[in-house]
Amino acid sequence: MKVKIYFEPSALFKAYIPEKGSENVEKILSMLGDEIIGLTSRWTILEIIRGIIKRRNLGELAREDADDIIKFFLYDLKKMEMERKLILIDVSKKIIEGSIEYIIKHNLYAADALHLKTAEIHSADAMLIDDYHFKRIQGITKMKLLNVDIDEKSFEKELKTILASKNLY
Amino acid sequence: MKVITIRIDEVQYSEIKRLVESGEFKNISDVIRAAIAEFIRSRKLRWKNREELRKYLAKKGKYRPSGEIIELVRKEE
Repeated sequence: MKVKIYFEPSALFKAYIPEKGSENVEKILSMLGDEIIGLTSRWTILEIIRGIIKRRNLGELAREDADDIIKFFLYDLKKMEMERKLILIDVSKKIIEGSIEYIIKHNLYAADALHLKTAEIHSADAMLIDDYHFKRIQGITKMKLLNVDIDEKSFEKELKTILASKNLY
Repeated sequence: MKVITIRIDEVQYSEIKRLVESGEFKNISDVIRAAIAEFIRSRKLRWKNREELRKYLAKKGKYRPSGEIIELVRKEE
């Protein structure tokens, strides 16, 4: 049985920008396939593309670079999807309805709630998330949260625990 | 449409057949066309993989954490 890892956009984005946590995200992406399957919402595509444009507006990326990164990002996602390494989950009525509770009870942003509910409904074993969002949703869900901003050694240890829970390590 | 003939090994043929049998593609020609389209698209990209992209960007400057950028995006939503 494969381990299902949900990629929150704050984590997946790091695979396309050099920063703290990029290597941890890359490690998981390179392991997708036989034992681990990646999941993310199709909404992630819009958030990351908007994030690339945001970086362009803030002066971090040149216009030409931003355009080419978007092309590369879309190609990379499509490739992982075709290779059956990543599942892009449609935003459904069930997900939207399930997300409402998180917004009302826990005051989450719509997108935070949507990602959390998508991961839960699709029985993700863990959610990859950055430090900032980790702190926000920690305690709200029973799902295992894997903070990608921790050091590589600790990250590997946490990952081994998740794999071991499915007898894969 | 042009017609071409190619030789492939048994393993690749079995994999292609599996994709057709799964219902993802209508027939073998469809699989080959999709593979060629992806190959051509990949040749047009500036970076071969994510690592190459990150190395390119690392030389160009510094970046805010992705979590911070995603937070700004969510505040817009």
